[in-house]
Amino acid sequence: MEKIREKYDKHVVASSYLVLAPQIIGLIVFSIYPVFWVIRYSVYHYDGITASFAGLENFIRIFTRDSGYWMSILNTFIIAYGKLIIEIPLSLMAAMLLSKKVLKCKKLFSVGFYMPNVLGIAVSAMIFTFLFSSFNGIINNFLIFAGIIKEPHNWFSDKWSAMTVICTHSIWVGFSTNMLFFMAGFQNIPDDLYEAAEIDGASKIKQFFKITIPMIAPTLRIILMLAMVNGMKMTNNVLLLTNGGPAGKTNVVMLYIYKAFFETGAKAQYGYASAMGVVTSVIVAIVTLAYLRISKKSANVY
Amino acid sequence: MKQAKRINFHDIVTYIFLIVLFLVVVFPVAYAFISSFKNTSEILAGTNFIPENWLWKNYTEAWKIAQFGIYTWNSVYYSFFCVLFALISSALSGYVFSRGKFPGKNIVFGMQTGMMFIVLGTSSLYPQLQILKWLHLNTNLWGIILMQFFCGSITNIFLVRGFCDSLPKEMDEAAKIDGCSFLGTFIKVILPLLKPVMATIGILSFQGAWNDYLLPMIVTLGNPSQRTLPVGLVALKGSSDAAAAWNLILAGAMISAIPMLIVYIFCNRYFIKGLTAGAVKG
Repeated sequence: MEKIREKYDKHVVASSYLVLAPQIIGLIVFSIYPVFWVIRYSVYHYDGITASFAGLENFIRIFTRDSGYWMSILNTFIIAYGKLIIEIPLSLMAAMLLSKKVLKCKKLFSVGFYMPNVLGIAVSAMIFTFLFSSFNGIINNFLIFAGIIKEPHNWFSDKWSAMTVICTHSIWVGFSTNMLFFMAGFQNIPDDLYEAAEIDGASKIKQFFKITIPMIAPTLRIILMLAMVNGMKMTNNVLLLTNGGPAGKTNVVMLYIYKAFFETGAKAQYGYASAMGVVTSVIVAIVTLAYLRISKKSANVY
Repeated sequence: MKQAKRINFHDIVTYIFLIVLFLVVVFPVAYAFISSFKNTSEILAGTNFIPENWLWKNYTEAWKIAQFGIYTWNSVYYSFFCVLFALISSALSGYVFSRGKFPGKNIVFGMQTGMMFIVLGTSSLYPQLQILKWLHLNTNLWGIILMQFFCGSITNIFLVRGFCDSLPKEMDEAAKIDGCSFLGTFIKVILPLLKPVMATIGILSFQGAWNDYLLPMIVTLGNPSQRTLPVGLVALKGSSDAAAAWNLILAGAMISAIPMLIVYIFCNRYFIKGLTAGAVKG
């Protein structure tokens, strides 16, 4: 007892807790309580008024009968990772070019590239709806002009073209974030490495694959990690661009759950929606852990 | 001579790539901006790039008839309080987590960090709203502002904590000897030094609040006079006569975007600094 009193200054303890009180209350009320709420109601049938115990029925329904849920999971992965096929090379290329020491107007370029990020989802989704609109939207006009399509295409009428719009939008918004991460990563590469390689007569391409790529592997890991975590959380962009349409074919998982909670129709099924929330967070946790494991192993290679 | 020529060629390719990319990125916004001065039939026809007549009345109509004036006011006070609370809570908590010695510190900090790994996403919205409903705050923006007050962003706390850790402890001790209390040290010694971090947090939380969509949309569903700009914009798009209102929609989009863009143009380094700092630490 004496020891504790010695270690802690009473005044500091009191003022620390006073300052942290709102945070601690908020943590319990708005973060931890919802977790328990969701877990609890995942084993109930609950329509907002009466709750009856359901056992594992909700979970059985997810795993056996709800193909819409699994399609939304698949769509989430397709969008989160599919866009990286274009986004990573694009942002890496832009980062390398912007990192050139002789370049002028560096600032102007990076400010311009990052601009879509600050617009906010409502505005940028509106702009994209406008660009891709089926009434002579400028994208349709351009594609007709270039001879790629013959008549205006309704981009939101079939799954894959709607997914294309979603991915294009997220690349437009997101590539600069990755570009900035890469640029930060480049700053950690000492110039000596390139100078030594230059003296040894390594070509630029060889330098890129033998120095740049291994040295930015940690950055790449962060980017892939963020792509996954942010990808699983993705809601607003799909909600505002396609609203999951046509006929729910572009739903992503968080949007699917959101609709189960808030666009309930005749009978609310909060219990079932909670069960989907539980399953989803377990999936996210598993994927995240697996990813951390794999990337740790591959980090040892270098 | 040959060497110099080759470098030039590389530079030209670099500039061409960057300029093309720049134009592609900026084009959608520029095009929407230009189109916001067209009349609806011109927009729907999509034939001319530059409007025949520059219609400023799109903006006055959006402001008055489509109620973007009200939405702007809502966005302004909503963002103001969100930023204020984000600044207060992150500065104080970051300082306490860095310098305070109290039992349970690691537990509280660990729980806050640990919650980041439980990704509930949209399924936590409903129970959160139930709490707000219980407090009779589920139909206006004050409910979300209240949540903002109680839930500081952990990324911001990390930012402040990291910055406090890098400040020499001797300063605190000197202040203590001069008779400053624990919180007095914060206000007189630490807070003035936190200015750059506070600027970053302020800008980022302003961006977050100004552009926030989902929660403000849900709480204002039955209360249109409380809509913020993003919510009002989407609501206008979803209204029955949306096809005839594209001029207003675009003008409204620009009304939402322009304040943010002005802040961005003047403070862009804070946006970028906050992004990288948050990702590395968080």
